[in-house]
Amino acid sequence: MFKRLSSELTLIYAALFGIVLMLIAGAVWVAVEANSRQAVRAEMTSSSAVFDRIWKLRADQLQQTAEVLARDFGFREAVATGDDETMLSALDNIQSRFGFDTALIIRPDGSAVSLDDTLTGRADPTLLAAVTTNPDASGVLTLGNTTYQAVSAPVRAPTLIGWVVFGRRLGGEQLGELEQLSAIPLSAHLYLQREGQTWAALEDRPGRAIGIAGEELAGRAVQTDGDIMINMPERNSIGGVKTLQVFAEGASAALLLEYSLTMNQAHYRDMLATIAVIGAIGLAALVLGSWFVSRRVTGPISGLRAAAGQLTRGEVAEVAVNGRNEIAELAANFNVMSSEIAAREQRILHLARHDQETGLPNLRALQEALATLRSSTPPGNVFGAIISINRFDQIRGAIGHGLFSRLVAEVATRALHSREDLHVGRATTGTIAVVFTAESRDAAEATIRATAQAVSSPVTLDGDRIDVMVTAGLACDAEDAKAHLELLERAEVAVEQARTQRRIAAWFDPTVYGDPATTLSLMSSMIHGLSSGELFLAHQPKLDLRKDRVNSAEALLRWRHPQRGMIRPDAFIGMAEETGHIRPLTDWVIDRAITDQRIFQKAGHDVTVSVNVSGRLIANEQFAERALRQVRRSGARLCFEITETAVIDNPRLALEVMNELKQAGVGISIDDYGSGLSSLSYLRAIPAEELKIDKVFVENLGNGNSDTFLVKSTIDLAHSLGMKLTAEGVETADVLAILRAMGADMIQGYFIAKPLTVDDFLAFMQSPDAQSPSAKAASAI
Amino acid sequence: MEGLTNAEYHGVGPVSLYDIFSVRVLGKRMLRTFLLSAATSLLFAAQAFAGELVIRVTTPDGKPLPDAVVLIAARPGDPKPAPADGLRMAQTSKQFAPFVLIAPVGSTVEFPNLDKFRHHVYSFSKGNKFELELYGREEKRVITFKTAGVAALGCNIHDQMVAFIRVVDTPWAAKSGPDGVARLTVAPEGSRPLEVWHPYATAKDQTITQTLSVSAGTTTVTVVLDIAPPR
Repeated sequence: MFKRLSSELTLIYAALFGIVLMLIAGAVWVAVEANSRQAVRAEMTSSSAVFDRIWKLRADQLQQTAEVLARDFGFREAVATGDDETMLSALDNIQSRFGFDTALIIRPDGSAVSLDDTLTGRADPTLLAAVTTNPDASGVLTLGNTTYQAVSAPVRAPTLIGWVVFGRRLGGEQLGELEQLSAIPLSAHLYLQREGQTWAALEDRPGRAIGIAGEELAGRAVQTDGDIMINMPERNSIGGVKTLQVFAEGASAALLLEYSLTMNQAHYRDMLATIAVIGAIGLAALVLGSWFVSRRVTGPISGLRAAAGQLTRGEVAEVAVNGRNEIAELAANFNVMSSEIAAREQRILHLARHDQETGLPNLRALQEALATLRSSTPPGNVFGAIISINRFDQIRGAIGHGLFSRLVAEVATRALHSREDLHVGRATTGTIAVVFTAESRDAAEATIRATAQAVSSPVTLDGDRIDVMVTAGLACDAEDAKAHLELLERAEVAVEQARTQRRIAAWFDPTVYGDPATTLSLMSSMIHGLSSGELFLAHQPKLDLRKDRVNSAEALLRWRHPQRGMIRPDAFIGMAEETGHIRPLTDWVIDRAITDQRIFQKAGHDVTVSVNVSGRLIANEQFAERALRQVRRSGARLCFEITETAVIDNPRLALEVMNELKQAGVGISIDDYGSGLSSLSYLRAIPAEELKIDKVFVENLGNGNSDTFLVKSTIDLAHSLGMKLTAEGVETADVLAILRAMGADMIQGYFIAKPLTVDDFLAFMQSPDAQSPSAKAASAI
Repeated sequence: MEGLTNAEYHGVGPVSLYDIFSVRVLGKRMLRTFLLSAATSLLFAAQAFAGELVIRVTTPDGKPLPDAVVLIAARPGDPKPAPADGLRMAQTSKQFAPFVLIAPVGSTVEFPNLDKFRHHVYSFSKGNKFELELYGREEKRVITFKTAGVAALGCNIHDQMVAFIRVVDTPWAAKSGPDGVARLTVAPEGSRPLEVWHPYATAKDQTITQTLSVSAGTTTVTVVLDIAPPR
């Protein structure tokens, strides 16, 4: 999650601290919520008590004033005698002196006198009833459209002659004054319920309305611990209700003291804000502190990490060791490890670049040197050479591996002495490789010749004097690389080429080397051609001189390549023998020959088909088994033409196979007799029924050379061994005549026919040439 | 003098006697009986009217109601009451005594202050308005009541002092005693309305009126009067 441990530690600490802070803030908030409600309740109770006191004081003042007036002798006299002018002046005096808002006198007969004309006349019946019932009435009184805190006092002279009623307005102004008197910020609202009506707020201050219907509020009123409370969550406030005494029965009045929790919570918010600020500062301090501490812890770890990264990249890494704690110990161990790894790496690198037996640089080191040379020198001036110790097998067998290694090292040392800027290393057991630069090919060859000269002198090892002769192969980096060989590989090939030419040094010759890649590609397309019909058999008729007709043919492999045209058999058969492709090729030839023979048979021509089988295959058991199986199954009449050299590799197995083939009805023919190393003992052992004399002896017959005698004696040899003799390469009637005269059994050659496709062969068999070859011979003469 | 059964009003007895009994012994049944019988014997010969009226005044719950004034209004041709002398409304122990006094029109009432401190007696009652500003016990104050009606008396200094003087223009008026009984010894014969008044009666004008027929001999009537003393 984190790239740095210090970040992780810092974040974890910060998160923990943050959680603790949140918990504290949450707890504070919960406490504040509960406390503020409680506190508001308490404060409202005390406010309510204060209000009670104020209300009572005001009522008392009104009452006392009313009573003082009601007992004033002159006033009473005025009332008793109906002196309204005096009464009103007295009322006016009192009103202005005490700041009362209304005053009136009611007589027991229901008449009222007031400075306010609207109140003069008949007294309000409820008002009259109220003072009649209670002459000292006190409470909220609504007169007209105005609500008052009113009191009454009876006027006695000495009997009751009326009531004085004084009132102070109750309204926004007075509520405001009340709010001012409160110790806590609250808003006061007066609610009235007149007889038969609903509760309604008496609020004449703009913007102060609570906005909740009076009835709704009344419904919410809850009595708790003697106080009537109203919750107003929509205003985040609670209200305390104070029931007010009413002047006249039937009406109700209540004072709602609303206390805003928001305001109360405001200073708690300040506290929370303080907590938040302290928390933020604390968090910052914690982040810095934990960052610092974790840096102290993780700093060395980071160093170790960086050093480990360096080590991973193969660089030399060293960590500063500070103090004596575990990390310092780790760092010290790391340093030891790092230096040991470096040492081991050095050793491994040395091993990788050097030959262990001789201590000489190996091919890999030379390749590196070559790369260095290539980077600074044009390819035409970069050269590689292989110097091979002649007959190293014999030398090594004579002196042993240990001394031989020393010999190679000595050779390398001498090579270096000859020219110091040579890069010398061991290439194979008996060769050293040299990489160098030279002005030209001639200069390079001169260098190598000089080097070869320098090393070709006897070496004394442990008292034994050893003659050293070397052969050198040279290659230039600029040479056409179509051979797909590296410089030193070409030089190695050049060594072989030099040995072949019996020279001390030779340049790599790509034309002599050929192209193995091309060879492989040819084999691959040959296998493909087997199935696609590119390869086919051409049958060259063989004339039986005894029976004077064509009764056999030699099947010859032909390849018509779609791009390259006809490919001669010697261009790919030898290659197939080298690469092992001869086996599937011969299998195919045998199958094809069986098929073709059946075709001939169906056309009415009983022809024995001869197939050339490579000498290497005849001793291959799998091949022999398969060939026998095919022959037996088809009942075909085949003849395997084998050169006798093939028998030499594994004579016992080859003879076994040939005997088996003979028993299966397959004829064995010894091919190209006379051109190879002919062994008479094998000739006797091989169960052949036909001997084919090589065409080089036949072509020149009749020219008066010794060939006539060789052919004649060979024919006699074959007959004496119970074999028929076939002569190949018969091109003229003269030769045919000579051979017939000598007693040859069969002839084959262009004079009879060239190799023919199946269709052509069938056509040939129908022609007069096949029916009567002797006639052709006669006409030719 | 005729027709008056009220001993205080009658004023027949010697002054010394009145002084003694009106204040100290008044209300005592024995003395009153004595006085009444004396008065009756005095008046009997000259009276054209005959018949004794005994009015028992009670509250609705049957308790005897003292200080109720019963009267039979005079008609034209009836004898006029003579102003009485020696009527007194004393002030003693911050109270008026008596609580209710019947005074024939033209009577002069003396207001002796028997307390050690001064009083300021007044009446704002229509027709009988007066004011006796602060006076002590040595100072003699008298008022002549010329208008029939009620004079409510108060003291400007002592609020609790209340008394009523019923100024009457009929010879037939009497006040109920502590037993609630008022007697009109010589009531006019025939069917006449009887008015019963009490200062605190709840009825209109604190008066209820009922017609009764007085015949020779003693006629006894019970009148129920609801009162509501001021709080």
